[in-house]
Amino acid sequence: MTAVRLNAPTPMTRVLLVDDDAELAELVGEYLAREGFSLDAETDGTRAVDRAASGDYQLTVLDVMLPGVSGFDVLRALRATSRIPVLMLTARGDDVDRIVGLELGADDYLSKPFNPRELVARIRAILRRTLPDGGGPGERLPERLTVDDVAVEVDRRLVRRAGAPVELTAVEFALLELLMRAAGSVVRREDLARGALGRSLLPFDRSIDVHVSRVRKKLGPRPDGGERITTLRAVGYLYTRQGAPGRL
Amino acid sequence: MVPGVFLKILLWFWTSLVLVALALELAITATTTPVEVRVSRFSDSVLTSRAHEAVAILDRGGPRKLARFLDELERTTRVHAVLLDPDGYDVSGRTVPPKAVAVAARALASGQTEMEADGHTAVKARAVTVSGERRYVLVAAVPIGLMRLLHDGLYAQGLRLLAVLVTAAAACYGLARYVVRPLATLRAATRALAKGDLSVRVRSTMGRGTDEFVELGRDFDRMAERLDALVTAERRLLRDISHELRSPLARLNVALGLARQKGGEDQAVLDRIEREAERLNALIGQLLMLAWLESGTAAPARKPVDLADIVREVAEDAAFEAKSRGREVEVAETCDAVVLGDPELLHSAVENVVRNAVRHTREGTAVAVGMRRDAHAAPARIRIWVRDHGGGVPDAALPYIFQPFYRVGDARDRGTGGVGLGLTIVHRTIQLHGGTVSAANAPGGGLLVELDLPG
Repeated sequence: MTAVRLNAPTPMTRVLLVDDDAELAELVGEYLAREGFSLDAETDGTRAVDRAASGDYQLTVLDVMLPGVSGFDVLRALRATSRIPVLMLTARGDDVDRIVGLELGADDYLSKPFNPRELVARIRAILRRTLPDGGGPGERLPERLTVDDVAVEVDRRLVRRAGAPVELTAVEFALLELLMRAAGSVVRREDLARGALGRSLLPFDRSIDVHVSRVRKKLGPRPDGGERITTLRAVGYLYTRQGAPGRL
Repeated sequence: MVPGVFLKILLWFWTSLVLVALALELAITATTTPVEVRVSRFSDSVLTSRAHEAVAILDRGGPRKLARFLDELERTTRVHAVLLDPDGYDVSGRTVPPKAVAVAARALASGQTEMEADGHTAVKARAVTVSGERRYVLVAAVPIGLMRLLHDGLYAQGLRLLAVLVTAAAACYGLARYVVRPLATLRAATRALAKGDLSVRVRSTMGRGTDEFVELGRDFDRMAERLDALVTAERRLLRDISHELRSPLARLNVALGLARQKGGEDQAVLDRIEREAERLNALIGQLLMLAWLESGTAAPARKPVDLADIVREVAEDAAFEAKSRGREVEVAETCDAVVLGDPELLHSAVENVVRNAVRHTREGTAVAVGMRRDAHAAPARIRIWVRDHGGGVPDAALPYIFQPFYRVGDARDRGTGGVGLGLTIVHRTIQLHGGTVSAANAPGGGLLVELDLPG
């Protein structure tokens, strides 16, 4: 094994892989190590929840098909206590699994068998959205976005509605940020996917729609009762300001 | 409730019961009621007075008058009477009924009314004494049916019939309900089962006891349980196969990535391994898809699907990829068409056909895709057609190209990268949506594939 690349993030980004295939975990671990990640594997679903929520890891890769406890149960238990980014591994073509996973709060999914390059790309895309230093070195001015009663502190990744904090996952935060920056104009679904997931949408890919609906649910309606984020079918989404019509 | 069977049972049993009742009534009257009662209207006293009257008329007016009198009697009462002398000879000039002579002899001997009856007629005889001598006998043939009708009266008959009608109707209604109710239950359960609800059971609703319906219900439940077990096992098997086949593939992919990472190897070989692994993965996906489509449990969604959208999207995507290989894809005609179905399945069906065409069309040519509404068909149909400019398919092979793994010729397919299940999946998908698929060689060369969907 060669030395770890010099441009790897320091300290090493730690990833937890929850998968019952120990051999696969070993191979993925070796691959990720060369990309500058440190991978731990967990085969037991129940233990996985505690480990993922421990704060030792920056991201969890979770296989939906676990023996015994289902990956969904792990995800549900994890989301009750932790906002750690979760990348789901699903069987190819299993659309229902994907939607269910996203609705339970997964950040993105990858169908198995996967290309390890793609796995690394997804992990990096999610981490860029999560890690405070993801934007590169150098101090930035604390940036604050405000629309009506929702305030977002971009650097600290904090969302408040009428002063009360709202818990969003990494991808949900990224979507909200993109929509609020463009408040009052339409953001295309494809742009949201690139910006928040770091990838293009596949045919019938409902990831963005599921994430947006979760953000909507967490923020609730505007103080005047209007819908904060309106849908333009087959085009994209629009963050509306108070006084604007709730629907188009 | 099944009105057809219900009505049939009701009418059949009701009619039979009424007929049985009528037959019984007739049989009983014919066999048990004494004939004397049935001919009571033409009673002994009437017979006696008619006999004296007849003799008196004979004395005063002769045989001719007598004949006229007896004719008149027959016309008004349908009783055929003759007057016999003691030797048994007729003095009225009328036809003598059978048995008349015998009965007359008995009446002469006894001085009483004598009678003999068969099924149709009662023959009564009464001797008339003139000047202390029994000189004549009046013999009357009384039709029994006529007597019965006359004497029982239409009113009583009608009342009896009405009672039978009403009772039978009530009983038959109950019977029909009793027979049809479990049938209706079974029918609903069978339909639910056919629609894929394998948890349906009828035992609790079929009643208790051990009659045939309850047994049938038990058999149905046993069948449903077995089906349920089989289908569940098959689904689990498919899932397991999918998992077990893909696990090594997943490891292979990562190992391949590692080999690339370490570099220095022959990248072309690694590319080849990656392509074959991807092909294997696609094949597993298609096999599982086909198994699911053929399992009989596949129930495609029924959402409104805009076919024009699908055709446009598929054509755009395929055109993008075809361009890099020096081929084109163009939409030749389109129309508005929203059908009910599974958007993903339909998308993949159209995509499969178009990609197949792109694989086979010659370099520098374009694949044409079109859709049109067949306005003449009833119900309306939407036709999506895809035409390539390749070598086409020998006419003899056309019927088989939708069969799994059918290869027209090694030369045609070796370089094209087809897996061999794509068109089969298209076929099954379109069938599940109530449509048909056909292929033909287009005039001027190339293959023309048409998907016909109910619109």
